[in-house]
Amino acid sequence: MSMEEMNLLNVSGLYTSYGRIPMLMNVSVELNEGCACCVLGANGAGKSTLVKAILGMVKADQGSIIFKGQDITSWSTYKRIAAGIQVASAATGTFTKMSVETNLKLGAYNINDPKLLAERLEEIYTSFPVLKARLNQKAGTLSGGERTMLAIARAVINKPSLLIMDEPSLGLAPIVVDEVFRIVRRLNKNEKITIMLVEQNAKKALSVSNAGYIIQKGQIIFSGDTETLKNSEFLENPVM
Amino acid sequence: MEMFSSLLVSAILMGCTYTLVAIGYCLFFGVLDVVVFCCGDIAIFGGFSIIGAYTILYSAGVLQAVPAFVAVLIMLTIAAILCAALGLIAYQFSIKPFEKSSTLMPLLSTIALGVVIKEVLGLVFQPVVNSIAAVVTSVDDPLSVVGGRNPQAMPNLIAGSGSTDERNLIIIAVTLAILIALFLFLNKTKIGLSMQAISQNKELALMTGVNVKRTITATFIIGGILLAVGGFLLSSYQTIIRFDGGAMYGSKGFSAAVVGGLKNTWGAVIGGMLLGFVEVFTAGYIPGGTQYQNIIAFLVVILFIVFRPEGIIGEKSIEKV
Repeated sequence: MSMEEMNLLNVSGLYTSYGRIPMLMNVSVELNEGCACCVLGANGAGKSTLVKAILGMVKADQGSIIFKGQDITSWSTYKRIAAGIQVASAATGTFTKMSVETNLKLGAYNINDPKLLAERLEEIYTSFPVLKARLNQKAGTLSGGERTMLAIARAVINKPSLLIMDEPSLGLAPIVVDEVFRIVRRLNKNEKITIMLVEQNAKKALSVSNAGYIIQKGQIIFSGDTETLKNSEFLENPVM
Repeated sequence: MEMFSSLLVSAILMGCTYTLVAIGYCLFFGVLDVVVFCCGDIAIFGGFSIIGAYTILYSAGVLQAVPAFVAVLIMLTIAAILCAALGLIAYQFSIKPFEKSSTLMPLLSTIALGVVIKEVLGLVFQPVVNSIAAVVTSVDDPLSVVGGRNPQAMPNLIAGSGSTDERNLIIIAVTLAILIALFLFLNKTKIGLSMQAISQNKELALMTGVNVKRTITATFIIGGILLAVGGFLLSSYQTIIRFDGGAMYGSKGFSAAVVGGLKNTWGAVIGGMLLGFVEVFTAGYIPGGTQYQNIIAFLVVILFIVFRPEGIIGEKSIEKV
């Protein structure tokens, strides 16, 4: 990477809990600008909790979250989104009773300039042609793959500094999964968006990232670049 | 035939007044997933604010100085501001403190707040208003406890000529105008879309960057204004207003919202109209039906809850565990 490596997101020593049950314990994650980094883990390992903590939807009991050099640990969610974090989450889905177009416009919540919004919409239509054909259709009537595309497009329309993708391959047919990961790679390589990919599908996730973390029972048990990860014993764990 | 058409008009008028309070329930339920049970009392408070504003402004000579149309707007604005403020108070003190507890808590606390509003209206507001201007009706009310808690006469403020037909027409026109304005607001403005977003998928709304707190505040302001207009129309239509009318008005509005599908604003319109029709036609066509109109109306609601709990246009919701 020839780009000057700048630290975009720095989560350090993060603890969260659900009631009295601890969820994340001493989790530290570092993301450099321009990288694609995956967070791997089994169901219930704490991946989604980590995403929600970064977004401020789950309170941090201890530790800090630094984004673009600013301490955002106590910020509310909408402020973090305005600062340039976006999430595409397959599980959270879309606004099912609204049209695809309204979904995209709502996604661009912080774009107030109508001219810029029109431009961005055009860009989205060229990069996600599936959606252009479905603009006036209610999001709830889309297929699973189209819905995932919409979830990604809704986030990407903002040109975020950090795009968190929460299990984009969830519940999709293998051929659609390939398409989703092609989009992930394109966003990272061509559009230079920093991506944090949270996945269960380790093999696919590693194929598009340059660094990774493995999370288990709320703790990071491994971190390193993709090559080391691919050969690590942790991936052989049948739970993964 | 003449009877039918006059019943039809009454049914629509009744439906209009129910619709507004039903939409209030829908909006609040949409953003909070909590039934705010004091909607009816807020609306009655709105009706009383209008009488209060009327007596004060009339004795100050303001109302005589401006055209009737402007006078009504002034009073409506005052009522809307007061109701919006009351809505915000309801949110701050009876809903927000229970954000993290079970949904039963805000349910109970809003019922409690409704009782408080009702009693304050009966004990404080109505005697004060009555003492400023002697507009107490001579209607003998068996339920009245102390003097000054009789039903209050609602002056015919809407129709300049004082004719009932004109009043009826204006009630329908105002409701229609409000529905159109609400439609545009919900679909064209950012706050309106945010309200819909929260109602459909709160988690995604948060992730999209919607300022949830601000949106909820805005919802209570909008809802308060709707309820103020609802209370005004209701009391103008019935020509009297009772301090304890909120419970019945509120439960009718809530029933209308349930019949329509609690999260669906347009369902509330249909639900409100349906309830109005059932009531008016029961009273009109069944001998002695006036006494049974409420029973039959609520029977319809029960049938809906049993056979179509998701409402007329509501969708079946599947609770994820």
